[in-house]
Amino acid sequence: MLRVQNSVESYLIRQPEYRMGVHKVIARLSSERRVSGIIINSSVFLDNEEAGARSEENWQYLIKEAAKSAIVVTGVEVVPREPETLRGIRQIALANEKNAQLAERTLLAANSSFGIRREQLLEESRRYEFSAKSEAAADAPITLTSSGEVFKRFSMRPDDHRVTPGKGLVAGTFATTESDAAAHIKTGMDAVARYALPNAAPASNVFTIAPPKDIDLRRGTTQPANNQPGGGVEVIFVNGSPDGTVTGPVKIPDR
Amino acid sequence: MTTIYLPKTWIEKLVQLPESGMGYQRVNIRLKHGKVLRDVTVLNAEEAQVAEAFEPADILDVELVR
Repeated sequence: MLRVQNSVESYLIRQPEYRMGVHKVIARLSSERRVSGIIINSSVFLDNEEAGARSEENWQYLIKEAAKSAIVVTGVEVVPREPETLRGIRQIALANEKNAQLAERTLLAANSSFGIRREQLLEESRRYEFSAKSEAAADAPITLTSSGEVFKRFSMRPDDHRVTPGKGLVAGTFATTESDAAAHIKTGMDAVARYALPNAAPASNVFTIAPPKDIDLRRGTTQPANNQPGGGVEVIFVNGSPDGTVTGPVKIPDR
Repeated sequence: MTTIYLPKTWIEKLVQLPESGMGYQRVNIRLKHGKVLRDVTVLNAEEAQVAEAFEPADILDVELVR
């Protein structure tokens, strides 16, 4: 049983619970270790073994025991509850189903229309279809990288400030998966459209990121923005990527 | 649209803040005389895309739009 640092407690209060009064987490400890477990009432950490045996014990006892340890929880990754076990999932599913139906309906209408009206209906259909399937990376839960995963980052300039002098990435940097890039990006302007970039200049400088396993990552879909359709896979390196994991850039054609 | 190249101080600050998308950030730029330029796109933590030009030396603060 361990105490939770005040900053972590403040953070957890704003995070969704796993069940009433409990967050499921991967905790970073002041001893540098990472341990899975639960945090009760945003303030006492129990590892998985303790959680199975002791979580029902008297609250005052848990507080007292946690206070005895010199090690504290200095950071957490909140493990989200599986969507299927949440009551709200039905509403989400219904919303997605509704958007999928609207997409199909608008597409049918587009196919029997002509000229500008047809273009408008096709665009509307694409928007509904997108809403039915997607979530931006910024709204996604934190996951971990797997061993051997590779990512790509498209930049308009070769001197990308998010790449550190030691060839890592700073925290909060966007990229995409290698497979999404290979399947969809042949030019710098392809990248502007698929990742909804605001720059008029093509993003023709490609960096390759090969992080170690267990790097914090949010994964999602690029939302339409900046007059671009989006639709690409986007990832955010929440805490960056260590030095020596970035290579490039390699130049691809602008158009 | 005009491009203003931010001084090194602000580049260093923006690099420490998360991106809004691949290669760009949305920020509010506060100028020394009190005016605030809202929801400005900054490319590569350096190139601010603004409707009207201003002196980079007049920047008082740059903060990320959440």
